[in-house]
Amino acid sequence: MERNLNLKQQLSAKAERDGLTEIFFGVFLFLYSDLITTIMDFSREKASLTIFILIFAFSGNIINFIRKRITYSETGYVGIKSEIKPLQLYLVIFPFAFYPLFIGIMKYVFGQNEFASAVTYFSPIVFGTIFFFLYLSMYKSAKNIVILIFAIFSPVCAVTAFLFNDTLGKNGYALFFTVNGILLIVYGLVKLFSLMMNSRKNESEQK
Amino acid sequence: MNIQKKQKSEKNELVIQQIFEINKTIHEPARLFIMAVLYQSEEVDFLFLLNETKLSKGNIATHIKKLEEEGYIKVKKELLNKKTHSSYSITESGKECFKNYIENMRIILEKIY
Repeated sequence: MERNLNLKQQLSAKAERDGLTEIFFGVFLFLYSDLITTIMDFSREKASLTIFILIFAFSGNIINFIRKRITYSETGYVGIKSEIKPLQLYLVIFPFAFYPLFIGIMKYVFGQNEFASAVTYFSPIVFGTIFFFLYLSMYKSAKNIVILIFAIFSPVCAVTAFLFNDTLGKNGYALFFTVNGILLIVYGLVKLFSLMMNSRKNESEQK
Repeated sequence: MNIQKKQKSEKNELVIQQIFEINKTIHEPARLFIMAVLYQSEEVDFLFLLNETKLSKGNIATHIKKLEEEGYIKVKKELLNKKTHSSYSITESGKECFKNYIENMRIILEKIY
């Protein structure tokens, strides 16, 4: 499919063609959901929290490590500059990074249990909005239609999770993260599988 | 009328001068592609350039060497899977020269039409 992309968008599409970003982000969402649960009931083991923080801190390096050695060892590696625009920073990164911290501070520092519960109750809506902007910024970088579909789907999923919040024992956010996580992992695996198939096809053609 | 002719002639001379002053290292198509890719990315490896340009290994290596000699790109060599892996990134002077090249080309093209 020929698309009218500029060089930067073409390079971005090539850099992301192995689906590793989607797979890692999908896994990250499962851990993120676990992190909120850990903060709210504090009954789970802290191991998941540690793993979450490690993956969060080093996922970029891990992805680049895998790309150079495995996924792009046959096709060639291109690394894209991560430019964060102010709007992206305030609408996506800051809310995403500080949301669990905010709940934790409200609950354990100020003892505002009810307020923390209320914030958690509305989290599907909050994350639905954050994810809409997140997917939109991902779409703009390489004009990937699937990501645009994710952007449209995200608020729908958020509203559904919010409506069923009581049925789910106020764990609507977990449903939201699980659905988004599964979608991203499946999409990432499809991309990875297609890349591997194309690489094999090219190899056999060259032989 | 004569003034207008003189001005037109001066303008043409300026365009000709600018055309001949264009950065010839960057202007070559393969090197222009390499510079454009590096300008828009953080890092690329040899295999990527090879697959994208469809040039021979020797040809790419020559262009890379030329750009490296001019100080436009940085070369990083590391051992991956028991092979030497070369990756490239643009230097600050490379960025500056590429920006100037694009600006000059834009002015030239505007004046030609």
